[in-house]
Amino acid sequence: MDLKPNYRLPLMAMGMLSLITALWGGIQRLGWELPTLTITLPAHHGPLMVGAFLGTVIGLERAVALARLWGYLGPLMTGVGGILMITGAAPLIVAQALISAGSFMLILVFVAFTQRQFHWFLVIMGLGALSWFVGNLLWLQGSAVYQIVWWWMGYLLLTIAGERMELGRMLFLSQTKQMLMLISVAISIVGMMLTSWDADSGARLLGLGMITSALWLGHFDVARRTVKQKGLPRFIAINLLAGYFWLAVSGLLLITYGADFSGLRYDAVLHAFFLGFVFSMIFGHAPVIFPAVLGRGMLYRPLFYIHVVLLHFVLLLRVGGGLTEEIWLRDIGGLLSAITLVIFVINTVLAVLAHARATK
Amino acid sequence: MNEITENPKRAGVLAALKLVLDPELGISIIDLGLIYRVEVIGQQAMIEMTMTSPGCPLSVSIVDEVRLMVLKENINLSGVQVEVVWDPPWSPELMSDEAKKILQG
Repeated sequence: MDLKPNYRLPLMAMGMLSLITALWGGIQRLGWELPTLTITLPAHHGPLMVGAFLGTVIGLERAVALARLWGYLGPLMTGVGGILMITGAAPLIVAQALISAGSFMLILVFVAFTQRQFHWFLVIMGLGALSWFVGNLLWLQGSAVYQIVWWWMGYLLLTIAGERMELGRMLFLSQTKQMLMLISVAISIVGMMLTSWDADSGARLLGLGMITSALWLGHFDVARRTVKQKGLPRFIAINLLAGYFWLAVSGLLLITYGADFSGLRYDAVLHAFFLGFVFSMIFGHAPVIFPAVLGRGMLYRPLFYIHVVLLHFVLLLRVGGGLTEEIWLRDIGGLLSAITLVIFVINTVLAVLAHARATK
Repeated sequence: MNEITENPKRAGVLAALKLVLDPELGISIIDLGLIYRVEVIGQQAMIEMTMTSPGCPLSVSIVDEVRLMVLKENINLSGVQVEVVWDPPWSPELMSDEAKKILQG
């Protein structure tokens, strides 16, 4: 038995609330003056973005795929964990435990998928969920975010890589070409794990895995074909290819700087990855995923390119400013990237409303 | 005789399915090889289909679109039953030549 779309709305709402408050905290963290919601919000920017927003949205889309009630426990837990982090209504450890439990549920969801049909790409995506779970456990037992963020990056990298490998089957790639992607994934996994013993070497190896993955995806992904189409398929493809560029940039920065925690370089690496790569995937697939998850249609509109173009422009400012140590440029890029994400949310909501009006 | 003259109702359902596209690929679910069986008995259409992945978040929404499109394009039908199966597993070999041509450039 599945959860009806209307009942999924509160879960999505919790995820979106985590996104908005995470952005609020992020802007404050850059030094911009905003009214204080809670004192700890700036410190929770990363966990809210990864665990409470991305974790809830990704958990929700996979719960919809599973179409069983228990699948929704994961996003419920990460969503509530986010609310607790925002409000401070419980000690942080409770939120951490909930998000950890939610990530464990995602592993179980992927196990369930492999029981329907076994595929290696599902194993890779399941390893992504496992990476997220391990990172959450390390965070729960006391590690700082900068010490374990590599596991969270691995989570998203493996989730997305697995998804793209699934689609890649349609291209009838040779065994050798398929093996190259598996090797890139393996390098990334080893690098990610190594960060728990030798952060610098591990980060550089993870960076190598990111670059090779990005090169493979940029060359072999089905987006290279669908970018030649029109409308929504082209829009999705453009976002994917732009995302692979930022994945390569993240990898290059990691190889160059390793696990450099000096603010500016760390900021550049993280945002090249999470904004440039991960949010490109979100921007591209939003017109498809939000309707599927919410049971409400959404009109694709060319004006979506506004938030797409903005994302890459402001990220260039942010990453460029960080790497050249022009803090003012980094800060402006950061503020504008938060605004860009808000524009994305507004555009998405308006497109859902437009579809509802058009189909009355 | 071809499908259209021999079994016009079934042909009508297939024609409607040709309009249901994978949103990322822009290719119909017929050309992707996702449709395993189509039967029309009386005013009821019965469709057996699969998805390219058992973890696809679009499964339910594609099934909803199948129902809507088949009924919209075939006013003689009163109902559509869709069953998603995972056996036999989908494979790229099931794609039509047209789909293969689009995807392989």
